[in-house]
Amino acid sequence: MTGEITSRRISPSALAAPATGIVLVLFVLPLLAVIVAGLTASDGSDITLAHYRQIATDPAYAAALLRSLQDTVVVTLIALVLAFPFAWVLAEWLPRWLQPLALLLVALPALASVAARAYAWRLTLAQDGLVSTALVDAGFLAAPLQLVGTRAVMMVALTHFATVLMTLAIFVALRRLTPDARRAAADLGAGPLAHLRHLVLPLAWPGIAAGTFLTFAATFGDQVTPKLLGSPQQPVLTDLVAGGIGSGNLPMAAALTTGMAAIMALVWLGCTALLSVARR
Amino acid sequence: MRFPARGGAFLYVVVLYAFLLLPVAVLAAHSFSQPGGGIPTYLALGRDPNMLHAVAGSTVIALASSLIAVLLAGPAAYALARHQPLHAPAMRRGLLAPLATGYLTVGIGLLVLSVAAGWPLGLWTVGAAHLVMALPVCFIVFSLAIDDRHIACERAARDLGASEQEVLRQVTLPMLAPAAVAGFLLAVLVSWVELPAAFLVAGPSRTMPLLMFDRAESGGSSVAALALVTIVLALIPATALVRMLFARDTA
Repeated sequence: MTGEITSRRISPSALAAPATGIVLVLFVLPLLAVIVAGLTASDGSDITLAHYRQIATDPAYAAALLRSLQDTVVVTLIALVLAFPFAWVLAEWLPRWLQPLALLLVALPALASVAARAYAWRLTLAQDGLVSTALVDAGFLAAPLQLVGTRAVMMVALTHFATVLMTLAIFVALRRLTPDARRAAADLGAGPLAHLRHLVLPLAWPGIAAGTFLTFAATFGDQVTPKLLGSPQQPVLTDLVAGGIGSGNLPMAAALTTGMAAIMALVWLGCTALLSVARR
Repeated sequence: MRFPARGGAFLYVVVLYAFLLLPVAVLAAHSFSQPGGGIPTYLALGRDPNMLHAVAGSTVIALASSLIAVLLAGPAAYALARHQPLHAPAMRRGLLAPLATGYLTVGIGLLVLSVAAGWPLGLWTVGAAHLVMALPVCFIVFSLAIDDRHIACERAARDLGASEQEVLRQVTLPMLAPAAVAGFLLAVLVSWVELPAAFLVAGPSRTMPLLMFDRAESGGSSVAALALVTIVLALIPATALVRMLFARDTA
C-alpha cells in the first residue's frame, strides 16, 4: 500500500486537513469557549464551579433536567412504536414506483421550520382553534378548552415531528426490502415471524439507530416548541438556557449547554453502538 | 409475505398520514380561509421586503454552506476510506462530533465565542453554524457511498495503465459524484429549515425560519402563507433527493 503512494498523490492527511480545520475552528474552539464560560463567575471575574453547584443543588434545575429527559425518552419511544409499523407497511405494501411519493409525503411537515409546525399546532389546538371549536359545535364540550401553554400540547407537537423523523429514517433503510428479497424469503419458507426477524428487522436496524438519535437530538435540543407551546410553569432545559441568555447570565447558559452536550454525546455513542451491533 | 390484516394495515397508514400531514393541511387551509387571505396574502408576501430578504439570506446560506461542506467532506471521507490511516477512527469521531452534540451546542458555542472575541453576529455566523453541521452530514453520505468496489475500480484503471490524473478524473470523481449531489441536497434541506442555531447567532439578520418564528410569536397573519412558501421551495431539493435515493437502489 505504502509503495503505491507516489509524489503525485496527495497524502490522506492533506485531504482531510481542510475539514478537520473547519471543525477545529467552528466547533472545538467554540465548545472550549462554552466550557470555559460555564466555569466563569457571572460577573466574569473568577473561575468557579458555582453554576454547576447551583444546577446540582437547586431543585428547579433538577426538575427541568428530569422533565427534559423524561419528555425526550417518552417522545422517542412513542415515535418508534408509531413509525416502525408505518414505515414497514409502506415499504412492504406500496408498489416501488409509488414509494418515492410516499416518502416525500412523510417528509412534507419536515420541510417547514419548527416555528411553522408549532404555529400550526397552535391554530389547531388553541382555545378558539379547530379542535376546540369543533368539539363545542358538536356539543361534546360546554366551553372551549385551554390547551396551549400545557405540556400535553407541547408533547403532541414533539411527538409529531419525532414520528416524521423516525419514519423517514426507517423507510429510507427499508427501501432495500425489494420484491426480490421478499420473494427469496418466501421461497425459503419464511413465515410472517421469520420474515420480520430475519429480513425486515436487520434491514431496518440502521434506520432505527439513526432515527433514535435524530429524534432524541431534535426533541432534547428543541427550544422553540416549548417556548411557543409549552407551559411556562414547567420549564424544560432549553427554556432555562434561553432564560440565561435573555437575562444576560451567559455563564449559566454555557454550563447548562455543556451538560446537554455531554448527554447528547452519550446518546450518540449509544446509537452508534447499536449500529455496530447490527453490522456484526 | 401476506399481511395478516390488510384492512388494519391500510387504516393504520391512513391514520398516520392524517396525523403527520395535519399541520401542513391546517397551515394551507388557514392561509386561504382567514379574512383577506388566499391569493392576496401570497401576492403581498412577494412585495414584503423582509420576506424577500429572509428568502435571499436563507438561500445563500443553504447553498454556500452546503457547497463548502461537500467540497471539504468529500476529500476527507475519501482519504479515510481509501487509505485508512492509523488515526482514521479518531478523525472520523472528531468530524462527526458537531452532529453528536447538536445545533444548540454549536449555536451557543459560536455565540459565546463571538461575544468574547467581539465579532458581530449576522448571516455569517448562521452560515458558519450550518457549515459545521453540514460537514458531518456530507461526510456520512460520502462514507456510505465509498465501498470496496470503488477501490477495486481504481486499482483496475491503474493496472490498465491510467495515470494518477486519469484515475482521479475518470474513475474517482465520477464515482463520488452521486454522493456529492445527495450530500449537497440533504445539507441544503437541513439548512433551509434550521432554527435553533440561527435563533442564537443571527443577530439582527433574518432567515426564513427566524422570520416565521418572529411572526408566529406576535401572531402575524402571514405566518401560514410564509410556511407554505417555505415548503414549496424546499420541495425542489427534496424531490431531487428522494428520486436519487430510490434510483440508486434499482441501478
